[in-house]
Amino acid sequence: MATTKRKMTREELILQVIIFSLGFFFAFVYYVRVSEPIDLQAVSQQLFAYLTAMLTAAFAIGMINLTRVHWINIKRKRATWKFSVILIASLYGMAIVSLISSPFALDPQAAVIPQGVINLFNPIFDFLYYKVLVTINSSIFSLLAFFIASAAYRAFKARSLESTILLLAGLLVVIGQAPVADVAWPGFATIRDWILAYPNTAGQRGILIGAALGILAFSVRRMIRYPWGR
Amino acid sequence: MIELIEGRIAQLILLIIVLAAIYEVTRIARGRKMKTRGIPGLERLDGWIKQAGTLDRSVFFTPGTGAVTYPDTLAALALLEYVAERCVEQNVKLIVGNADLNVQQVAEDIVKTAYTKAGKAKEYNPDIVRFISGRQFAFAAGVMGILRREKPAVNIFVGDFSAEALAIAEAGRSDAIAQFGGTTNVDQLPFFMATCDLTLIGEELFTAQGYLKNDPDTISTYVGPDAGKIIAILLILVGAILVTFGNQILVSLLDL
Amino acid sequence: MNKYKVASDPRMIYVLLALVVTVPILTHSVLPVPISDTTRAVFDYIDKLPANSLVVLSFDYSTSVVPELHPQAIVVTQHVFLRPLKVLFVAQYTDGPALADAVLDAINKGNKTYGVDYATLGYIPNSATVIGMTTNLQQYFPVDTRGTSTNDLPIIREFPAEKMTSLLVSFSAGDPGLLTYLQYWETPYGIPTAAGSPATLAPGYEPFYNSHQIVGILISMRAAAEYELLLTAEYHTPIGLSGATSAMVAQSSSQMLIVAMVIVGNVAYFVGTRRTKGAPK
Repeated sequence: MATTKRKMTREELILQVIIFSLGFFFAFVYYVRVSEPIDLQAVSQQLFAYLTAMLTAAFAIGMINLTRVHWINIKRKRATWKFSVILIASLYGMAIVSLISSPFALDPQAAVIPQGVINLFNPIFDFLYYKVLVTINSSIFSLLAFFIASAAYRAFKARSLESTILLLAGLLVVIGQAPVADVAWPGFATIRDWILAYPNTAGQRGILIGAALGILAFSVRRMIRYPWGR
Repeated sequence: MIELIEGRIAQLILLIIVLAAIYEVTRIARGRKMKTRGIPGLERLDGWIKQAGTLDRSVFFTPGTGAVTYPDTLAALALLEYVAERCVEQNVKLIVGNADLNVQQVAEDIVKTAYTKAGKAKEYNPDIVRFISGRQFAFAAGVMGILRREKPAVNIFVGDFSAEALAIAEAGRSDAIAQFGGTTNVDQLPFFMATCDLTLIGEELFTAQGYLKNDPDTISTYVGPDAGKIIAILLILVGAILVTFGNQILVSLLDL
Repeated sequence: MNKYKVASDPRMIYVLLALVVTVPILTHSVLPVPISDTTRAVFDYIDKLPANSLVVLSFDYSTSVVPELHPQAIVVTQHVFLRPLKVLFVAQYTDGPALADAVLDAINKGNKTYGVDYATLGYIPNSATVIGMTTNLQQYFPVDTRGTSTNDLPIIREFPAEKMTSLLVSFSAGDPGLLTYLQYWETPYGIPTAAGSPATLAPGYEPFYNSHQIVGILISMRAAAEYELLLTAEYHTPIGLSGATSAMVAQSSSQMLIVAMVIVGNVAYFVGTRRTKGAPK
């Protein structure tokens, strides 16, 4: 279903000129060093800093968005409103604790916030971060072990020549990775190393080169044409 | 003072050659009706969206956990534009889950525009596009919850993914949802292949939108990178032969 | 009831996997672990660094990958602290600084002094900082994570630019991470780089190891166990420093279970196919 392109509006054209100029500028300073009359490398680093500031400012919008969505859940007592209470309490609670006591604390040298308050919040941060956050994140990550097992059981079937080769290579690498197999026969490690060093590397490099060229062409297209709604 | 940065001169020359090749091949391709090998199964996406409408179920879309500056995310957002337009056309409920706040803003804009273009601006609901979490596994848990509660007919997850992709895919698979995945992350591709009905591998992600829209102009631009691949293959072949015979000239040239 | 259907139910796989992981951990089983070349390469490189060399440890992972990368970070940091080296801690992930603090709490720092022998600089917000800190560290890190001006830190006065780094170890769980350093540190300045990675990302880093762009790779918790054994052999550090050695039996048994399940799955598939072919039409 072919679509007909409409002409760019003035706003889209201005945006496209900005996109193209900045894209070309950053590519230019990557390859060419210009120190006089303007240090372009310093300019590009400054622009990067502004970009970081802009992207970080989006966090404020995100917090407002999250708060709004979950506040409406609570107000209207939707099905999952209790989880929304937990979410908002965790969001603002952890933010306050981290601002007082964490590597990102606002006042680590207690110039404004009393040291007693910081000492009070230190164990709270330690508990919430290391005993709750790290544990929860690691638990969800550990689900992957189960998912990999069921995906491997389902996917590794010798339906054809290619899938048989995949099956054998996969099994040999998994066996080679297990310390107990290395103890049983050192050859498993050698086979694993060979599979990872040669066929795996070759395949990865092929996909990487293809993806890199795709990214190059995609980026140039985006620099030239306004991407959305056309 | 202007000078070329050492160690990047060969890169720059190679980049200019590749870009020139891409441009020339694209220019030639634009004048002809190109026959592409196609992306197997991509045509089924429309059918799935239609089926979701028939079953009165939703379509779930996520552009991944990457930042808005990542090419994968931009390609995913381009595909979101297509999916949003189809969903609005077919009156299918769309749910978009995001892990990045900046992607959230762009996704909202894309979906809102799709509704506006179809003359259904009043039907747009801000809850369609949701920010779930910026943390990888909190995002995965949120998506798994949405898949379990909302029971969409199609789960489209394309873009930049890390380990959370398998968790999302398995959750969708266990709920017997049609799954459409795609990424350039070679570490996650095996998991996509094992769990999705349809997978976009590597650069197919960047061509999907143009292929679906069947725009000859856009398709001709996808032929260009093949010229770059031919240059890469020739360099690899020549380089491998030279190095095998002990000649390091190509290696030294590329180190310039 | 079809016995193959029971065997192929994913919940059966989950129960078996849970058993083979928890039983060895609860029984404190131990297994000898052969040392892989990629791990030994990192150990030997750090062991041979000249005295007073600068090592940068970059914590480029989040809390979800702690089980795989944190043990690596503990053993490598302990090794660096056992040698007369200077260390800077940085992070490209927001979780990194807190995890670096946790590692420092877990190791024996000996007689090393903060500010003189090591310092924690904190989070690197973007690639401009990664590029800029190679030439002017103070401009991009005016204070450390404790709020102290980096101008007052002797280690920063001694190493004002990161291009003076003798080794960078990036414990990397994705992007940003190792690839950022390869692009902005290793390629232009030739800074030796080593990687710590989860098992799923290691195949992606192998091409860089094979082309000698990185000196070695620590792959998952197993590399932490191997490294711990090397440390014990060389420096007589206690076993159990990172907790990785005690998890090796669980890891081995879970991997063997997956192999067994794949074989069983294929047997079931072939038997099922044969039955379908042999069934009367």
